[in-house]
Amino acid sequence: MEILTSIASFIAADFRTATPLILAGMGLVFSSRAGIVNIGVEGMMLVGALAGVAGSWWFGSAWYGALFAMAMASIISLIFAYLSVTVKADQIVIGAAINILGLGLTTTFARTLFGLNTAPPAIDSFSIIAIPVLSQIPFIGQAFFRQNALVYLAIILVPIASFIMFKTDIGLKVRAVGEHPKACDTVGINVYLVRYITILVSGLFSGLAGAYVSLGLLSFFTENMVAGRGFMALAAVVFGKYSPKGILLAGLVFGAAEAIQFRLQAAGTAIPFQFLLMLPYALTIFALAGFVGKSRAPAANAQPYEKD
Amino acid sequence: MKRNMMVWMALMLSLMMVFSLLGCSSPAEEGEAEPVEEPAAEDGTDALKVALLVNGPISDAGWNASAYDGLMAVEEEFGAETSYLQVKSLSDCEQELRAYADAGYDIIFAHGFEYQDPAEKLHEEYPDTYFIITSGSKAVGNNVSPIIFLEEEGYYVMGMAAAELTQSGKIGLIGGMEIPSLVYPWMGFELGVAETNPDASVTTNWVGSWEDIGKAKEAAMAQIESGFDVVFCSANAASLGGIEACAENGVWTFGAYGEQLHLAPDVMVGELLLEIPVAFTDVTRQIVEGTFEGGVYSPGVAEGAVIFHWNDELIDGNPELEAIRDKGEQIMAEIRSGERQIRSFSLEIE
Repeated sequence: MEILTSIASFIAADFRTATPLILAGMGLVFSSRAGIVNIGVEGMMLVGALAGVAGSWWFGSAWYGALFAMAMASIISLIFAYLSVTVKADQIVIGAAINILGLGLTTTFARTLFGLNTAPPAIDSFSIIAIPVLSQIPFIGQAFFRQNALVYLAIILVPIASFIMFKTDIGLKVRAVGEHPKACDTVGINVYLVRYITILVSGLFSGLAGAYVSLGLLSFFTENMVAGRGFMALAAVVFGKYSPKGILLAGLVFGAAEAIQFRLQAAGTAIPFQFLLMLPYALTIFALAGFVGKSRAPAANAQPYEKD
Repeated sequence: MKRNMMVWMALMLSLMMVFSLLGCSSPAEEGEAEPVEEPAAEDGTDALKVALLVNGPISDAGWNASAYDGLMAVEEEFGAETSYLQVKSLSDCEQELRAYADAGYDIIFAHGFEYQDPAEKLHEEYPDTYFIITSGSKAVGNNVSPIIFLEEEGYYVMGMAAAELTQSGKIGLIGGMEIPSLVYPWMGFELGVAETNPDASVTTNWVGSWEDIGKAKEAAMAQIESGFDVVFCSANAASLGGIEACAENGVWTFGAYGEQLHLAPDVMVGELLLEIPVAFTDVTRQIVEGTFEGGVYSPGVAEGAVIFHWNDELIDGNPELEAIRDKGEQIMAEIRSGERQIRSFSLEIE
């Protein structure tokens, strides 16, 4: 029985850890499919993390905080869109710059808003919602149905994103723009508009993912708290073969690696902790090195579209 | 496939950029460092001149602020002429030490282990200047002395309290990274546990980060879900995550190195604090009185430099906690009077 409880708590931790990757991934999958490599997601998530806390502080509700986070991160994503789509600058360079901008902006604003090393203000954060009836089922209830609202939302978003991507005109346009922008332009699809919108979507979702880190996992902001989760989300998109369901699985694999390594450490295993700490990252490398099969990027990946 | 590789290289590069930016952010962000000179003493030559070098803003309400308090305490107690400087980057440490030594400062408090090497290089050139390195590693000549706080004396009391508090017998320590200044003082914690409740076990886990609060929280959650009922987390900013996990799950915890009781008033039993002003004035007094003999200066509980601050609001009215506090204060009193010796692990760091 005790082993079942441990497994259930492991699964719950897996979903907790995977959620920011899945949320950010649901936005990234659209921009990636449209041929945009949005490395700036880390910076956008940081902006979301701070804006979430600030919004929750000002408006008194975690949900308003999350909306504010999405709004602020989408503003940053529009800067990225303007530079990469309209100005046609190198997406990788712009993305890296956005990350540095995000770190600088959030550090400055966090210090101005909350002061240096003072007590973080008490804010509304996402609390755990136990789903009635389902959460009472032994094992399954503890593993799956005692999470905060954003975790459920992330899971619900997966089939929705998958449907939009593969079963609707919009999804077809997005995929076509990523594969052959010129052909799209010829048949009257506005390549720039599609790319702008997909980048905006990735901004909105990275904002939400950032808010999850600061308001769902925790209940305050500290400098650079996203700590690489944006890059992990990008890796999850590639690992998940540019499909929402794949990203869900990839996120859960990364989450599982992290959840298991802390549990192994806590169990006092003989494995040196350095190896345990590298588990999620080692797994990423193994996965990308071909153990999951070939992940094919859109043909027009990272290429700015030049209208003749 | 080739394109993918480009993407990954770019990813790695941007990661590196972010981290290198972080590495230099704290000293650099305050802009130009300005020495704050106090007016020279009227009679000129005889006044004691004391300088302080810090690597971060003195408004940080923590490590650097306490050093500035220390300098002000020295100024007040000895009428010293004082000056401080926020060093812009690690590469400037030597140059700024030299600048103060050239200006004829008698004592330079260099607030961090990063000054150890530059001070060793300079000490022969400036035999009349004392270089006092907070958390330095070793004494060189008779004018380079590290201040090494005997934190293990405070951690011993924390370990005793943890051993009294635990029901499950599983006590967890979570550190940011495995560095000597955590590993050695924590031996005091383990000693405190072992001598109080030999059946209790201490498990030390590492987050691998000083700022990933989410990870620190998951590390604490993993311990809590595995039945640990006393969890202490020390990982700079990331500690907040561990403390929050304890507060949410009603697990006993402790604080360290800064006022943290307000973060978890219902589960944080006490916190370990370092009194840097006490150490600074003590060293200055020895130098002024001519009793300073160089070597490692290692103040602890007896000097009032290491203190354990109990959460009185939580403890008052709870007989079990009151008994633990009484026992802790008893141990502190014994250390102070010399009746009890706690092995000084921090002085054994090679």
